[in-house]
This record gives sequence, structure tokens and C-alpha cells, in this order.
Amino acid sequence: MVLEARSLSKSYGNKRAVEDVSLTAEPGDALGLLGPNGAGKSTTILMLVGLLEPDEGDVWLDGRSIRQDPRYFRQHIGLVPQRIALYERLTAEENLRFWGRVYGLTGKALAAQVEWCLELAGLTEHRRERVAHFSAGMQRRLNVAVGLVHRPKLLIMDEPTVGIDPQSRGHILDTVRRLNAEGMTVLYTSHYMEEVEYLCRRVAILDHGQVIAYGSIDDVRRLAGALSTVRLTLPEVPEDALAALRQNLTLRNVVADGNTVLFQTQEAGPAIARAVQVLADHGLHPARIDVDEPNLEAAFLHLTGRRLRDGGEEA
Amino acid sequence: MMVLGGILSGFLRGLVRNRSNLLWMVLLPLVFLLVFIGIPERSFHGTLVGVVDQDHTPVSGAIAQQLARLPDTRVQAVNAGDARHLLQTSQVTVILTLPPGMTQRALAGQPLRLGWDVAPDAGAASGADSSQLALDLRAWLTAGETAVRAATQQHTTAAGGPAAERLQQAFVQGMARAAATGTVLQPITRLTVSGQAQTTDISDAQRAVIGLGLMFIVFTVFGSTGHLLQLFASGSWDRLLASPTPRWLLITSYALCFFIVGWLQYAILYAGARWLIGVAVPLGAMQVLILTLFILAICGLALCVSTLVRSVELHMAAGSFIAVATSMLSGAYWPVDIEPGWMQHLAWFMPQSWALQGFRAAAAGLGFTSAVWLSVGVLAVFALAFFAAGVLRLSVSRTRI
Repeated sequence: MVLEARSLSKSYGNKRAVEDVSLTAEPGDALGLLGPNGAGKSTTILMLVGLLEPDEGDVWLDGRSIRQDPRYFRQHIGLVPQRIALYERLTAEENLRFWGRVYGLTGKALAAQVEWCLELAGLTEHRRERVAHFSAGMQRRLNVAVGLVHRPKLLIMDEPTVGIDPQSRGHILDTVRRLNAEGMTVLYTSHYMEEVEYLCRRVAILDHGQVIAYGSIDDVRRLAGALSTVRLTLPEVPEDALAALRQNLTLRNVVADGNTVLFQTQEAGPAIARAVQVLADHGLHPARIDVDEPNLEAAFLHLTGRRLRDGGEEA
Repeated sequence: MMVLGGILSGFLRGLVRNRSNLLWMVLLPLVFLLVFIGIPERSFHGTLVGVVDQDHTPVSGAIAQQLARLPDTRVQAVNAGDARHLLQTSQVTVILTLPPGMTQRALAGQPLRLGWDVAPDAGAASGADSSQLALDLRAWLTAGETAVRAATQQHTTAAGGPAAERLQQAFVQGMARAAATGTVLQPITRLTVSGQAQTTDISDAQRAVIGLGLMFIVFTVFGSTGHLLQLFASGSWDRLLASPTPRWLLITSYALCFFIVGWLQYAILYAGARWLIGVAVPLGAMQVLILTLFILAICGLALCVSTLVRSVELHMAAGSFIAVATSMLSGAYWPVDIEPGWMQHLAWFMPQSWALQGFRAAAAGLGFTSAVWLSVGVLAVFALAFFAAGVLRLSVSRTRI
């Protein structure tokens, strides 16, 4: 077992940010960490990399406790933060050299790793350009590459694809998947369910600081039962129409997301007919109707009653 | 050492590549040097005397020449018709009118009456200078008159009366002797071991350069420690802390970066003052020690503030306020002696005032005396307290992933 976190808890003042979180990752594993904003994902990651001391519980990497051997953790974990943690006035190559030195690399080993990372990020041709002049996608790719410069055993990625173009996103996902296939253990958090479904074999769902579902992707999907997710796109979503939909017992987990109303149901056909009738009573007519078969997003909605990208503060 | 070198080179590269740093660290200090020290230094601050010579004799000419020999005094021959206009427009500080027949009256032993008009808007300093000048002039004339009387008596007893030229010569010589006594009092100097004369204090221009240097060190160190806030905001600080590099080494490396920037800033001002406006500020071992302690204190203070504020803008605002306010209180802009008592007491708590005091004492050649060591000691306490507090706050500050 590469990583084992057992009964991690952390409070900020009176607020319990993480409570009794336990996770494991086998060598070559790819574990997804899902949760809405404020669920405790970032606090958990901070504890896993040793930046925050847990109030209770402990973390082990290759059988070594983080409390007893924090340096081993730092040497073998690669962290890719959500923000672009780079020096924007330095070039791509200078950034990689800098971070390589911080991780103790020197001489030929450093040069070789810098070349490998530049190639991995698809930035070899842009190696002498300053990061400030990069597109958001290029910055994200370099941000990931910096986390890999010392070839860590465990790569922890905190929403590494936020706000980038589809090409860069695809590039990052393919890179991480390839590294994982080569044996690197990956812990991946994201707001994008499809990314987690693409990369990970196992997933943990956090809500209000607790793990509410944990297992293989298929096992977690099944938690949603046979519920389909229906999306109705409307010109607007008034509160009274939403309240009327919620009164209908066959429509479960009714939520609004912009101009879209989502709900889950056992039988999509009759449920859609009822929902359209209710909306028509409020003078609303859906411009589009989509039905998703049971998936991870449906499981998440079923478990938390919220969409993954609902607002709220991150702990 | 690799980490230290990496952080140092990365930081300095970023510093040089940021154009606004060139403005803050190079252009602005040099402009300040030129505007507030260079130009005033080159301007004439003394008394400009317009002389209306209506007598046109060797005596009247000698008076004008004697005036011109005085330090901080310039003499300009003017026409009687222009005198009033020049005075009203402050083109001269004083108009001295040497009336026709003046020499004849002097040689006849009659009291002299010269015209002495001071510009209405002459400042306090110019007014005081012109009053002193009037007293000096009166003393010279009295000496000249005495010399004429003595010559007259001598020649009366010897040869029945001197020639007019001889009396004029006596007047001029008497006046010159009186003027010469005015140079008896020189600025006190002391000899160094090497035999070079050294004044006991730094000049106003040197004091201003040091004051400006200390102020810009505060600006620059605060500006560069704002880099830490950028690291916090970007998540780079967390990434650094998550690396195997020990936290103390990271903090020490960045503190060294800020310290180097402080010295760099002083070096720019030092060189600018020397080569641009010709003001050489003493920089011996004691001054190096004083500056080192001062920069360490400011680095510590800036580190403390960086852990208390949330944005680079707030950090820079705090730095600007501290730089300007403490420089004013500590006598960086003007001598602290002219400040009210309560401000002078506040100055005891400002590192700048101790640094300035140390500079002055060290410049006076008071190398290892209590005056210098007091400044060094107080600055060392400031440096130790602020730096320890800054490093401590930075090392316990919460991570912000």
C-alpha cells in the first residue's frame, strides 16, 4: 500500500472541516476525491502532504508515518495545486530548474528531468518563454509538469484543469493517465465527474467533511440505484415553479443550475411528462430535455442532494 | 546551497525582469537625488549684493571687491536706474549704494553714509545674512576711517600732510585688515591617523543622501517582501513547503534575497549621489555595519507586515506609510533638532534616526566610541527583534493552498 490515511480529523475553531476521513491507495492506483465546495477536499490534501497537522489520525506513505518522517513524504509526493504555483517572470525551463533544485536535483539528473517535463507538458518549443506570456492552458500544463519534476511515487492533483481549453485539458488527462499506467499512484480531485470517471478506478465522495461514499467507480455509481438524471433547459427558473416540481414525489433531488432544472427519477418518460405539465402551469416550456443514464454525477446528486459545482466556500 | 542559489537567482531574475522595479529602485531614487539634493546643491544660496558705485574711486572699488571675497556672497555692479527694479524682483538681496563724494568724506574724516536696501521678500536666512553683511561692512568702514585718521596724524607730524592717494591706500588697507580678522574662525577639523583633515559632521547634502537612502531601503524592502504575498496567493509557498527543503532554509533564503535588495538599493543611491550630483557619502566599516543592521531590521519589519496583510497592495501601502512617516520623524528629511519635543522623543523608536546618528558619529571619525556603539547597539536590538518576529511569524503562518 502506497498511501494510507486513517481517521483524519481537523477543525478550524468550532468548525469541523474534516471528520474521520480514511483513505488508501495501492501502488499504481488512481483515486478520485470528489466533493462540493466546502466538503473538506483541500483540508484533506493539506494533511496528506504534511502542510497541515491533523487534530486526530495519521497518514502513512510506504509504511512511514508523516508525523515521524515528514521528509520522506515531501521527497516522494508531487503536489499540483489548484492555483498556478509558478514564477511568472521566469521561463518554463527556469521554473522547472528552480523546482527541481528545491526537490534536491542537481547536475545531469536535473537537466534530464527538466527535458522530460518539458516534453511531457508539450512545452519544449516554448522553454525560453516567460510563464507570464503563456496561455492559461500552457500554464496549467507547466503547473502539472512542476509537480512531476522529481518523479514522485504519489501525485496529488487538486483540480488541475480549472479554466483551460479542451486541448490542454485533454493533454493533461492523457499525461496523467499514461503516468498512472506506468505505475505512478495518483490522487485526483476535480469538479468534473467525467475527468474522474476517465482517470480513476476508485473514488471517495466527501460531504461536510466526511466520506459518504468510497469504493470503485462502478460501486459508487450503483449507489444511485437505477435513477436517471433529467435536465430541462428553460428560459428562466422561478422559485415557485421549482417548489411545485419538488412537491411531486416521483421527482427526486430537484435542483436548479442556471437556466436548467435537474431531477432524478426511476422512470424518465412519465416523470418528464409530469414535470413538463407542472412547468406549463407556470407558463414555462422547456427548450431542451436531456436524460442521463445512471452515472457518477447521478450518484453524487443522489448522495449529497447537490450538484458537484454548487456554490459554497472551500474549507 | 543549491536551494539557496536557486531561490536567489530566481528572485533576482524576477526582480530585474520587472520593469516597475527599475522605476522604483533606479529611476525614482535618482530623480529624487537630482530634484531634492542635486539641484538645490548647485543653486546659489548666499547673498547677492547689487553695488551702485556712483563714486568711482579706488576706495569704492575696494569695498565692492572686499564684499566679493566673502564666502556665500556675490557682487554685481548695477546702474542706479535698475537697482529698484532688481530689488523688487528679488534678483538681488541687497543694494549697496556708494554715493558720489564718499571717498572725499572718508578722507576728510567725516562719517560715511552708504545706501543699504534689502529686498522686501528676502527670506529669514537671506535677511539674517544681509544683516551680518551690514555689520561686517560697518566694521570695515570704521577700520578704514581709523586707518585714514592714523595716516593723517602720522603725516601731519612728519611732513605736513599726506597725499590723497596715500590716504585712499590707508583706507583700503585698514579695511582689508578688518576683513581678514573675519576669517580667523574656521570650521573645526580634526586630523585622522593618515593626516587627512576631517570635518566633525556630515554635510547637509550627505545627510540628505543618507536619509533618502534609508527611506528608499524601506520602500524597496517592502516592495520585495510583497513577493511573499504573491507566493502565498499563487500557492507557490505551499508548494515550497511541501518540498523536502526545510522551512528554515526557505525562509532564510528569501530573507537573504530581501537583504540583498536593500543593499542594492543603497548602492544605487550611493553611486548616484557620487557620480550624478558629486556628493560622496562616507562608507567605512562602521557605516557598513550600521546599514547592515538597519536593513536587517527593515527586512524583519516587512516580513512581519507581510504575514499580517492579505494583499500586495495593502503591503505596499503599509510600506509607503512606514517609509514616509518614519523618515519624517527620524530626521531623514531635515535635522531632528528642529522638530518639536514630542517628535524628537518618537524618533528614539525609529531605526532611521539611530542609523542617521550612527552615520554622523562614524563620519566624524568617532570609530569606537560610545556614540557609535550606542547607535549600533540600538540598531542591533531593532534588527534582532524585528527579524526574529518576522521569521517566527512567517514560519508559523497558516498554509493557504
